[in-house]
Formats: sequence, C-alpha cells, structure tokens
Amino acid sequence: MVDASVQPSFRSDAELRDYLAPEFRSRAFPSVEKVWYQAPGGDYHPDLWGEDGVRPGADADVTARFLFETIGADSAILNPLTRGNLPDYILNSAICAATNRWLAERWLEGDAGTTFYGTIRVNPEDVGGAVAEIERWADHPRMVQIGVPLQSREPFGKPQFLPIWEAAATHGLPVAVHVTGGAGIEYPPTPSGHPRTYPHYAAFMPLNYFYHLSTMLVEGTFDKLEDLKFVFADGGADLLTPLIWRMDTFWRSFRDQTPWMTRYPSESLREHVRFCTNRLEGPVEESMVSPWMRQLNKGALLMFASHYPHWSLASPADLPAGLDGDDREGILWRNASDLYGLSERSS
Amino acid sequence: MAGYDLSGSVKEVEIVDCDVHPYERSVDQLREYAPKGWEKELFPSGREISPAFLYYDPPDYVHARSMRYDAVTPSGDRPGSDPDFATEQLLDGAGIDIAMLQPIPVLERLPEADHARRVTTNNWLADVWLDKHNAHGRWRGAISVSMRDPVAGAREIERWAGHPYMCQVLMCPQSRVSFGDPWFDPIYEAASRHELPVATHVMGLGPFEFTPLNPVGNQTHWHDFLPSWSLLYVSHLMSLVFDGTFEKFPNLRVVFTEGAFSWVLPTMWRMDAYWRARRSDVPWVKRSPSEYVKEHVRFTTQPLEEPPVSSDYKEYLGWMDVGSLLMFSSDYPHWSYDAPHWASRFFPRSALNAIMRDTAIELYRLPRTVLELTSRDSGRSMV
Repeated sequence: MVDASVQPSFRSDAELRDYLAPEFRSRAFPSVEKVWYQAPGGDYHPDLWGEDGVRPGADADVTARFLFETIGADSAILNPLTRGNLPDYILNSAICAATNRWLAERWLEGDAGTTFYGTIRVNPEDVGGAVAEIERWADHPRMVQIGVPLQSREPFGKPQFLPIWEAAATHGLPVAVHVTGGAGIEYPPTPSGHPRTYPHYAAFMPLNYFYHLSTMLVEGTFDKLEDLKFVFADGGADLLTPLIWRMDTFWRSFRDQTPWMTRYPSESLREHVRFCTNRLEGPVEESMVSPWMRQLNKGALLMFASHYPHWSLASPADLPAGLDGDDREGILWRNASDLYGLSERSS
Repeated sequence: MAGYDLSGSVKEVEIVDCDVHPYERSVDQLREYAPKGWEKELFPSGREISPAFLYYDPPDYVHARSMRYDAVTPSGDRPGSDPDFATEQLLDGAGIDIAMLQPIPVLERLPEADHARRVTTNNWLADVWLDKHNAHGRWRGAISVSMRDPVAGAREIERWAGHPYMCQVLMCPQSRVSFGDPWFDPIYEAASRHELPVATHVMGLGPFEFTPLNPVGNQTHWHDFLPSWSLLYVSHLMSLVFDGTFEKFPNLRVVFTEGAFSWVLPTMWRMDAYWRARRSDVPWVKRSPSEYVKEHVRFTTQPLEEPPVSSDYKEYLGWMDVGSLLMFSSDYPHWSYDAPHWASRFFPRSALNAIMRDTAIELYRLPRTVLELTSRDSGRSMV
C-alpha cells in the first residue's frame, strides 16, 4: 500500500528557523495552523498527541510506526504544509527552501527514511525561485513531486506559472496541490463568501481544485506540457463527474474562443490528473461504488491517502465496500506507484 | 388574446417550465414602472451611454446576445420581450402549459438602488406579463428582492403576497454572503409565512464585486467560468444545511435555478459524511443534510449534461431521487434552451410526470388544468 499524502510537522517554529537561511532567521511568519478555519478541537487527530506533548506528525519514528506498522503502508509520500501566501514572496520561498532541507535531512535519510518519499515545496508567486528550487532537488532519489498551495491569486492555468510546470514536467515530477496552512493573502474559501461553520469550510474547501483544473484544461496547459501531471491531494474526485460532464457538454459551443482545445476536457484526465482519496466523500451504498468508479474511469485517477496526522485520518479499511478488485489495487498502490515511479526508485 | 380563442375547453397541465426569462422591450417601457423619484437614477437619460458588463464573453453574444436566433420577435425586438410571441413559440409551439417567469434585473451599485430596481421589475412583470398579456392564465411570476437589503425585500414580499400569479420569491446568489447567513432571515421569514418558495438564479454578467470570487483566482474564458457556477450553489446549499436555516424556518422551500443538478448527489454524500464526523460543531443541525435537501430544496433541470458515455447519464440519474428533487426547465429564450420533449427522454419513466409537472404543481400550488390555446387561424392548437 502506498500512502499518497502525509503532512509531517516541524516540532516548533524554532525548528523551522534553524533551517532558514541566516538573513531570514529573525523574520516573523504565521504559524502553520489556519487562524480562522482551524477545526474545533484542533486539526490533528486527538489520538495522535503523545504524552510528551510533541506535535502530531513531528516525530519521524512515531510517524513511521503508525504508517508502516499500524495501517500497513509500504511507502508514504510526505508533503509538509508551508505558511500561507505571504506578500513577501522572497521570504515565502525561503520558508519553502528551509522546509525542503529539513525534510531531506530529518525524514528522507536514515532508517526511518527507507520508505518515506518527499515533496519539493515551491512558491508559485516566485517563478524564478520556484524553478531554481526544483532544479536544486530534482535529482534527489526520494523527492518524487512538487508541492504548491491550493490557495492562489490566479488559477494555475494562467501563463505566468508555465515555467514552473515545465521544470516539473521535464524532471518527471508531478505537481501536488494541497490546502496550505497559515495565514496570508487569500480570498474567502467559498464563492459565497466566508463559511460560518467549520463543516461548511471543511466540506467545501477541497472542491476549489476545480477552478485550477478547469482553467488548466481551457488554457491547454496539458497540451503544452505533455508530461505534466497534477495531483489534487485534498480529494474532490466526488464532484469531478458532474463538473467535467458540464465542461464536456459545452466544449463544442465554446471552441470559437478556445480553438486550441482539441479534445474533450474529460479526455485529458487519465494522462494528467490524479486525486487522493478522502474517507468523507463518495458513495456509501455498496452497489453504487463500482459503477460510480467506472464513470470517467475514476479507478485510474485515485490514490489512497491517510492524511496523517489530520483529524480526518483514514486507513485502507475506510475504502468503500463494493470496489472491484482492480480498482482497489489501483487505489491502494498501483496508481501511486506508477505515477511516482516507485518501483524504479527502490531498485 | 390575439391569435387564440380561449373560450374552448380546458386541458390537463402536462408540462410546467420552471425557468423562462421575460425581458423588457426597451428602457422606456421599464422606466414607467420605477418607484417615484427613482426614474432618473435607474434610467439615466442624459449623455450617459448604456454600458454592458462584458468582461466574460458568453457564446454568440455579439450576433445574438446569447439568445436563440429564432426567438427574435416578429417586430424585430429582443427575444423574450413579447409575451404574445412567447405564448405562440413557447406555450403553444413547445407545449408548455404553465411557465414560471424569472426576470433578471441588473445589479446596482448601492443597496437602495438595487431594491428600487427590483421594485421596478416587479411592477413591470405584474402589469405586462401577469395582467395585460395573461388572459390564458399560463404565466406565473416571481417577486424579485434585493440580496443587498433583505429588510426592504421582506416589505416587497408583503406587498405582493396574495397576488394570484406571483408564485415565488427570487433572489440573486452573488452577494458573497452564504444563504444560511442570518442576513437573509427577513426574506425567509416573510416568504415561508406566505408559503412562497425562494428561488435563486445566477446573473451571468455582472459587476466584479458580485461575480463569485474563489480562493484560486479568476478564470480566463466563459468555458472554464460557466461549469464552476455549480460550486456557488454547492456552497450555498452547504450553508443552508450547516447554518440550520431549515430548522429556523421549517416551512421554507428553496429552488436552485439554472445551476445544473447532478452535483447534488455527491454533495449530499459529502455533507452527510462531514455532519456525521463533526456533529458537535453544528448541534443545531438535527437531521442528516440529505434529509433537509430532499424536504426543502428543488433544482431545475436545464442545462442537462451530455457525458462522453451517454448511458452513464441515465445510470447516474437513477441514483438520484430525481422524482422528488427536479423540476423541468427550458431557459427560454437563451441559446442553451432545453426543449421539453428532448429533455424528457433523459428522465426515468417512473419519475417523468413528477419532473415535468407534479413537483412544480405541488411546490407552487398550481392548478392541474389550464385554458386550451386554440389558434384562431386553424381552429386547433399546435400541440
């Protein structure tokens, strides 16, 4: 089993500061928790707080024991959160750089590192810095993808981001999009403004991937970069079927404005888009699961994720009953293994 | 009514069209209905040149204003601006027995102007469509209220409640305040007291402040912009449920118009799962979200989707309780019009009557028969 999304934590801000380049060590930055939308009771699963009060996800050995022993993962993709979309894009890039050094040193080496893989965090608002950071880490044998925030001021299909995706695609590294922590310049989480309740926030926020995806499809990003792959790591594949159907329906009527879109939007999904699973989405009724998966061939698009150490923590037991064997294998390990080239990396 | 003899028989209502757009013939026509003192501000007549919010370019706007070509009126006026021609083309020609009219008044910058604009629209609709050109009794209207001033909106609801042809309240969903916010309570209170459903319809082209803003930025073309409108409704639906609106107003019924509906299925699953996992966050939500949706919310059918594998759509609709949730709509006279006989082929047989008429008849308390439209020319109806 491959766990496609785990969020390791710094023990404290002090630990992050140790890894920051010297000129940034006295800078203030937000905590990793979201100020307005932290879950009541905290974002971390309550069972994961150790007696020593160490933040869940901060201890590599504890994390390894949970993932590889308790829930039976063979490997796990680590994707640490950063601190929000900071107006000082240089500081933000420095935080990404520090996070990458920390991840490589503390998680991807040594015994606990034997089955961890990592994410190269970059700041899309600093295109030059992001490309340089990708070049710095692309050849590291355990860095398997790029990581960017879901929150943005412009959808990722806009042309200014192309050099970043090109660097990722050139190195065969997928781009993982994940809701990022902290506080920064971000618009309200929903198109109907700020949610008043936590369940409204938590249920809606992952669905914002569609604004990125729809614009990327319409801008032809995947046609320009044939090797580019995007992973929407918070989930949202449940809404994919109705929304992509809507795009397909109107595709032909809009082609006078977008003549470069030579394929139906749905035809680009298999080659270019993946989603992590989330135990709080999708059909529950057993008889519906297999036909649901067949529509848009979702069985090829999903990768199991625990989302450790989040309160919505999942294990393979949370996958719905009714999945057919092939889909189940794909979701549990094969889709991630293929996407990240894991068998090549471990040989 | 010119062209039709209404003294004949009645016929059974077979199709209710829940989304038809009436337009004013001209600014001059609409100006007559403005509240006293608002004529000049809402309808400037100096050297101002009429602007349009055209920063997204909808299909075929330049040549056809995104309307059906064949819906231009016989006198060359705007599609949807002639009730008698609409009677001929939609009611007689397409076989629609009752049409729920949803005007789309422009969005104003100031709340008081937005309210005055809606008062104007209500006055015009009631006079032109629901009175002067409604001898056949087939047109039904909506009381437009401003999302910017719900207290004034509640007064407007009181003004029209009891009107024989005003069957619902209509509000724009784009103020970036979610529908479950107590801000809208005055509207829900008045509407549910008068047993009037509250409908919402998207404004395609409007000012940036009232175009949905998401945490990812603005899309480039109409092609990526249009499908994501469904997410606006997803968020409003989540708000109505998680903010406890249906507990506060147990009589309230809400209609989501022209936002598609297939997104409702996974959204109900998602809401149910998050509610089960986080019940203590929202103790006022006493029942599962999907139960609230089934009891309180309805969705119009247009535009239907055409998936790559067409049999998938029938399978998908079979998973949804379409017989309870959906009401047929055409969106006449827009370019994306769904003809009723084409649309009806997609629905399960067992749910067909519910979708084409029964759910709307129950929701809007419509009659089960209407006057037959017998053409004076041929002495028989077109349908």
